[in-house]
Amino acid sequence: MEWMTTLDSPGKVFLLQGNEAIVRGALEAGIHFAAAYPGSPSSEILTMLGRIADKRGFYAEWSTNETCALEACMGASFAHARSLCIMKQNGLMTVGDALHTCGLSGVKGGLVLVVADDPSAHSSTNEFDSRNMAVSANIPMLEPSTIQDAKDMIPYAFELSEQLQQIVMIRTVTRINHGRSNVVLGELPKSLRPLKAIGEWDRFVGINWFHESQWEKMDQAGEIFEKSPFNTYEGPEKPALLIITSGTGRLYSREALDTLEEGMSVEVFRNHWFHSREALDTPEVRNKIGILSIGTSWPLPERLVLGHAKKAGKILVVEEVDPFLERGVAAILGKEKDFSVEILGKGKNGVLPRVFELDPDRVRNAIAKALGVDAKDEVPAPAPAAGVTARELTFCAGCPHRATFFIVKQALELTETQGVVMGDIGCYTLGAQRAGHYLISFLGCMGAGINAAEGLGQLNRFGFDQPVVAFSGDSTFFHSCLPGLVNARYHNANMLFVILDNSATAMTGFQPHPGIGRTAMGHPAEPVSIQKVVEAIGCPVTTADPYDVEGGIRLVYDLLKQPGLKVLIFQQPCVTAHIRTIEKTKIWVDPELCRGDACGCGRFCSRIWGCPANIWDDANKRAAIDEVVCAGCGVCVSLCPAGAIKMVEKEAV
Amino acid sequence: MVAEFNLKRDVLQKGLCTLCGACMDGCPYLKNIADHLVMPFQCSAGEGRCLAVCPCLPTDWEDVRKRFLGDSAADPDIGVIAGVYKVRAKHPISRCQNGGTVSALLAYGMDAGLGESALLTRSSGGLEPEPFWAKSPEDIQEAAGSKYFAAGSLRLLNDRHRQWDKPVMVVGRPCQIRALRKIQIHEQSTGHTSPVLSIGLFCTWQLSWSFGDFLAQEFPGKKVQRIAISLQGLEVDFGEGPQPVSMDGVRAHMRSACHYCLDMTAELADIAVGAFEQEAGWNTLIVRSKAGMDWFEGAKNRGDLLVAAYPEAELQRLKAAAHNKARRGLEKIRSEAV
Repeated sequence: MEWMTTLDSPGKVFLLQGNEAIVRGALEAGIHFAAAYPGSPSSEILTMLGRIADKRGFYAEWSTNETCALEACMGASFAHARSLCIMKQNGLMTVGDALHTCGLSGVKGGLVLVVADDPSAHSSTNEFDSRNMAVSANIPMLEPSTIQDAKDMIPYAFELSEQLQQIVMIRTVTRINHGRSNVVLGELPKSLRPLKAIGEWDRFVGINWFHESQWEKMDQAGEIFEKSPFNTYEGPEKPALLIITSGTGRLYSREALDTLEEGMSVEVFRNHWFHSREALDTPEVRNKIGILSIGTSWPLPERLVLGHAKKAGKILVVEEVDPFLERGVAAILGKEKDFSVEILGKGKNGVLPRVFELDPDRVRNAIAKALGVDAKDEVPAPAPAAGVTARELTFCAGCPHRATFFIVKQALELTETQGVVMGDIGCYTLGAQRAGHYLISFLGCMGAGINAAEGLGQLNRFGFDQPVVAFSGDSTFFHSCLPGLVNARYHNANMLFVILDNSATAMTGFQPHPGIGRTAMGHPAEPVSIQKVVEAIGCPVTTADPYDVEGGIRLVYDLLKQPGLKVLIFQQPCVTAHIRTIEKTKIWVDPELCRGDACGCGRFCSRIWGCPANIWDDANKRAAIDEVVCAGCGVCVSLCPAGAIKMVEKEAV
Repeated sequence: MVAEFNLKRDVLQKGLCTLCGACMDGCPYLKNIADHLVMPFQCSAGEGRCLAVCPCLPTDWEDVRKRFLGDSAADPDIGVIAGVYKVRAKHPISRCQNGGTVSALLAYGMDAGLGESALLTRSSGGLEPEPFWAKSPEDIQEAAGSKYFAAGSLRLLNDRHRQWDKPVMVVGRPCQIRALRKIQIHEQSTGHTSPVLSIGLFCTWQLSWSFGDFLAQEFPGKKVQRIAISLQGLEVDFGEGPQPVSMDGVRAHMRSACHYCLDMTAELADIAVGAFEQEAGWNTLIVRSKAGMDWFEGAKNRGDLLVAAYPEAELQRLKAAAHNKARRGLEKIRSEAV
């Protein structure tokens, strides 16, 4: 849909996804450079930027990791390029050092960092709140509360970045990135601003000499934010309840007010989701409640907040994840002499829950509690649609990871010791669940698995003799496992490092990585061979096909018996990414050979192997293959004890 | 009754598995590498075949004897005795452990059509044996000599492509013969009849395959040519003549299941064969069933076996040895209340 983002039609209104709006904002800002590492909910941004980069004359790359991306943007900024860096919240955690030094050095060309948080961790292992990092790094931060904001804040942030000569962070959340709304397009620059040569005495250094000037930039930002158009107030002059909110809290609060006033039925309430600008027009509520929406979340506009707070009977802070704004407001008001007002918000005894994302129901109940009124309807959780079976997260049909977990599970059992498997981040994280036979017992951040395994792999001197296995995907290998592998090799840790090379950053949408041979802009590139890298580090390395289950079990078992560091690369392309480019083998069950429940196998193919394509035909009481989802990997053919699953000749897809 | 048991909980995890092979290969839940047999995934069958055939789960010995050995009374220490003999092969058998009797019986059985093939094990140097179907005298020769490691050879009976109506001969440890009888009973209950003749080998214990790792550690760089038990104990030949191995090293690698075993002389086999300890180059042979007697007599009458009377004193010594093994096994069972 990136065509909408490139239209030179100022004033036109389009229904845009939040990430499309950010792309449009980047074009309106005239970026020269964009770099990112994929991670939901931010992944679409650089995917779209990569597709249009050549056309619009800028550069875009999927960097090897977020630190590469941010520091590449810092380099581009040094030559006065406008640089946009994009990542998810976990990515921001990995760039802590780079971000903090960037805050010290300041920037030349505008540098804007978009960080997409994932409240409720829909597509993440956690819901870390990025805003805390802006405080730690001492840099300005913005929070869009609408899709329009998401677009408009990008050029605003670039202007601010260049005015302050400081990196500016924009924190979004899933409902902004993936939500859709009408967006009024702005003007596109006719051409990109020329860069500047780096002079002999130009410096871009992040050292402590600049700590004071960093604070001065923050003071200046605070002054600018007092009058920022992204801070708005709607409501009576002296509200009984002042809602101070940022991000999605603004729309949730409006929605909640609407329903509280009218006492709507649950159905009507749901239908009003995100469409209630009229909410404040209901007179009773309008006279009681005001909404102060803060788009400039750090540094907070202290005078603006204080001015509104002094007119309020009570304050409710509505925001996603941590009580960040709440603490900021409390700090501002706490410094004011002889002033006291009740602040409601998140917490164990708060009116809003301290974990998981907000929704209108939660905000509505919080407002009702704050006002001391009946919430009227306790909104029940929506009932599942009839006929829809509850499903757990699992690997796709034909996924090589399923075979890898199946292999390692059995090989570890065969050692007759309690093996320990250290997981990592990617599709294979699902191996911590039933799909991977609950094999993963350690899960940290990107690259943590191999390092934790290295630690366990040194404990044999204390008698620790449990086999230790660490998993990594191919993209994760490049992202953050290389230092860990060097460390494990140098210290000869007792461990098996298994690289699940499926030639894709599959979890986030098949973005290319350095092993793929294609860039974000669609240009060919010489791929980096994982095997050669591992060999060059000096590790003994074996490659194998995870679809060969019996061979894989034997191989892993043999490797586990060997002392020291062993590396095994399981190579098999992600079926979902490559299904359209491969010849699909037809798999079927011979009903004469499958004896159903009389076999005694306990429906091994569908119950234990668990591929979504291996199903139970309840009408015929036999195993069956769901041809729609079957990818033709053929692993189940080798697993059936009756030899009833057959593979027929190849057919073109 | 077997439904009360769970193979993983009651056998595998308790270290009672003898690796007879009776449950293997036909079941997708059981995985085996080396001498490890594990059940990585939870089987949903309440009363699977594995429970019916496992020799480590309750066995009705009286019923088995009646079905296969007739009504003769069993000696309390060495089981049913239709005849006991001092025997050796008439023609020399290379690499044989004692008298070559088993090889000679198998060769005769194959010639006489008693078994189209024989389920045996072979290995290089006595380590890591593998089961195979011997179909010729050369194959039988390949299997000659004792292996002191479990090989799970009964797994080959579970090959779904096997022709069940062809007569076969099976050579196995006492636990394997017990499992074989349970397989036969199970087959009868499911309508199969499988003509099988069995030779049970006297057994006091098996070694875990980890013994190979132990030898590699104790004698680095040396390749095992042969392992044998003599009156001096266990000896390993690395091509430089037999070298004794300390009994401490041997005991540490005995298969745990063997500590619970009550059967030294393969009491349920058609024919049981072991060493004749008082004179090298001879075997002790106990015939237990009518089929076993026909087999033995046939081989003897063809002149394949040299047969001598069995000394009474040696019989008493054999019974005492079997009695002592059973006593140790019972004490172990009682002490752990398994």
